[in-house]
Amino acid sequence: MEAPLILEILDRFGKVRERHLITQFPVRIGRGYDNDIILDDPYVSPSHIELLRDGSGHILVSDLKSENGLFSLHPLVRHEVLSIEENQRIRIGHTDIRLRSRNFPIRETYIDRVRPSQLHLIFTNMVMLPVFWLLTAGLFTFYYYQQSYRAITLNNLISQVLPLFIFIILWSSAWSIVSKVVTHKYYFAYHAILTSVVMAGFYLLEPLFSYIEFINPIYGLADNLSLISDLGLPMILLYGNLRQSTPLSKRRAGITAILTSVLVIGVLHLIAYVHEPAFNSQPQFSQVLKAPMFNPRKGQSIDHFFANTHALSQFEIKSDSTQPASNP
Amino acid sequence: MNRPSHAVRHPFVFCLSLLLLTLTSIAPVRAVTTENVFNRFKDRLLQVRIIDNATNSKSVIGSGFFIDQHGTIATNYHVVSRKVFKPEEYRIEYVTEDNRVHQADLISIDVIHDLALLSGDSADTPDLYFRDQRLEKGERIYTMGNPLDLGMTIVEGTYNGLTDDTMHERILLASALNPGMSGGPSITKDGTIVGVNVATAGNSIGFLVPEKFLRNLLKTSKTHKKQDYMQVIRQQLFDNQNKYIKALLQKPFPTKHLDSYSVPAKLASYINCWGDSGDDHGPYTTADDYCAVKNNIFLNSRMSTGEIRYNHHLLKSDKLNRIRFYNLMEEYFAHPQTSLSGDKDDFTEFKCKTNFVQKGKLRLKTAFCLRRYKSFDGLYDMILHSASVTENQRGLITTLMLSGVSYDNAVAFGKAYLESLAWKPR
Repeated sequence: MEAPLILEILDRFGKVRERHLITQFPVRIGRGYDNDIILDDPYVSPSHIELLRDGSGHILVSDLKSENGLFSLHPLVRHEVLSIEENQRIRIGHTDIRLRSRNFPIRETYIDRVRPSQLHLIFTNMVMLPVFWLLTAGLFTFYYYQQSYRAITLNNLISQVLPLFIFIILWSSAWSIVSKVVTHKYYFAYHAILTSVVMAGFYLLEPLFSYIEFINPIYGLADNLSLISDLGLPMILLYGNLRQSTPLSKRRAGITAILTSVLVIGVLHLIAYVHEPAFNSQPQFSQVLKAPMFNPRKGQSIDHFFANTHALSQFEIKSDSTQPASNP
Repeated sequence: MNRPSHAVRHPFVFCLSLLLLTLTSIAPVRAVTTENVFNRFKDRLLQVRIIDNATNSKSVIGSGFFIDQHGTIATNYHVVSRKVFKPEEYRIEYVTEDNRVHQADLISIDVIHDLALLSGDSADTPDLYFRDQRLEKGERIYTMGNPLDLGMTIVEGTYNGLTDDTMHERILLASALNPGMSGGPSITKDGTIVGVNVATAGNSIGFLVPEKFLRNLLKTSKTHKKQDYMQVIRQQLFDNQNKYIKALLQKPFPTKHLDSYSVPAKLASYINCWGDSGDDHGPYTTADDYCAVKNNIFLNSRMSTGEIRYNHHLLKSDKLNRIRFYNLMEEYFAHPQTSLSGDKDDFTEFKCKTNFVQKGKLRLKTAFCLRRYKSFDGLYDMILHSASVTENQRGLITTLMLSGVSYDNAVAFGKAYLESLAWKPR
């Protein structure tokens, strides 16, 4: 007695619709009620195919003179009789069929990350959400106050903080819905806490970068460094969102987060680059200023400052530039 | 890119507009009336037109006059500047008193004093005279030209001496000059040239280029023939900046106090300074000081040069903490007030060096920037822009701008400027 097989009926998208345990052959398949397996597919004939097992144990499929025929896939070839391997798909009408043995290997079980660590408990705890939000709002207010030299009123503070929190809420809600659909739990607290921590990261890194440019007065240094936060922080956020809301592995979630961030920042920089004026008549120099306590070093002497400026006077002038023609 | 008119470079007061005036025939008369002067000298006057070859229409009009009997014409450089920069695109015509149109060629230019000489194709031309003379303030002067293309006009005015607040001598005239009179002569009643009409500063205030510069140009123009005018302009600008920068660097800059900082004051009689102290902006106050040269050198409608401009801003606050105060400093530092413009046909972009400079206890964050004139090798616009990083709630932002100087002069002047800055804690 040969081992029983599982016959799988797949729809045209490759999704398994039915499974039948096959313990004896022949098996006749068709749309009629007199078949062993009855298909609903209107492109299948009343009696379409028959499966047999020959003396050496191979499975043979024969076409029972159907209207639309029997096909092997990749390439799509019509057959009268066809010998099939385990897991090989055949097509009748708009339905695919394959056979698998009982010991066919299956994927590893997805790990459900509902079992939390201590850290996880803090990040997913609804009680912690107001704590993190207060910290973020406090940090933002401090940043906003120190960034400005104008008097700060409650009104304009609120008008600054509000958009930030609207963003946090919308973003977290969207990911909560993804979580709900894919992993059957909302995790709003987790997404909201993660988003506010990442936003706080921007307000911590920005002053750091501008401080670095202050002590190393190179034009555009802070802007270039801020690429780190512009790329890195969204990556962290997306990675966290994806890991919590989807069954993606660390590797896949990481790659998705990196590619998405690079793409978005790349497009934004491209837009900025396109809008840059072709010629700038104003000087470009490092403009960052901080209080004296932030720069403990002494400055250069005046002679030293001007010592290496000769390179500034060297300009390449392309010969095709519009030069007034000389007089005849 | 906007093409700013050269007037934009004088945000303070001075709106140069071109004027012109013509002169009629000469003959001593007993009863001197304006009418006599006009009738006597009007055949020496002409209208200068710059014609666009592509469309054959007038692109610039000005005035001019004969200064010898071989058809040599004097006018302003700014009337013919288009021909100088784009000789293939324009030609020069002039219209004499009898309404006949003639062709003219450039012989010589002086961009520093805004003069040009043309050779006309008229022969045996009647001319106006150069004669050594001493004019008294209030003496009558007849200014002639073709204002606004309305026809030859004479205006009676008075001589008011030489200006002492311009870098290059100008005669101050109380008379109504109008656009189109540029390049025309101002003469005495007997036809002696006093100067060439060049600019107006509004109602009945006009300026003339003194006739001695015209005589110099006439003298030197006989020594050379056809020339590369870009090279001529470059040489004139180069020599001119060497002269005035060297003169300014003869001795240390005079300084003045702006709170606890000492800063360069008025460096020369032709530099004008304005102050604006103690503006209250709520959490902070400012005191500002601006200095600039009154007239600079017109090259073409896009470019003027020869400017010296510097300004100081003192910022003070007892309400802002040091972090917030330096945001304010940064805001001012990020926008140097240089009034510079220019486009890529004429200039490279700026290249800058930024670093901290120490002068005694005064620590400055300083940017030194240069851009090159594409047509005039070795000439640069320079910006030296500094902010003090010395006190917690008080700071100085000072900006120097020189246009059309050599690299060596830019550095020498920059050094002298920084040397003149100081901080004396109280």
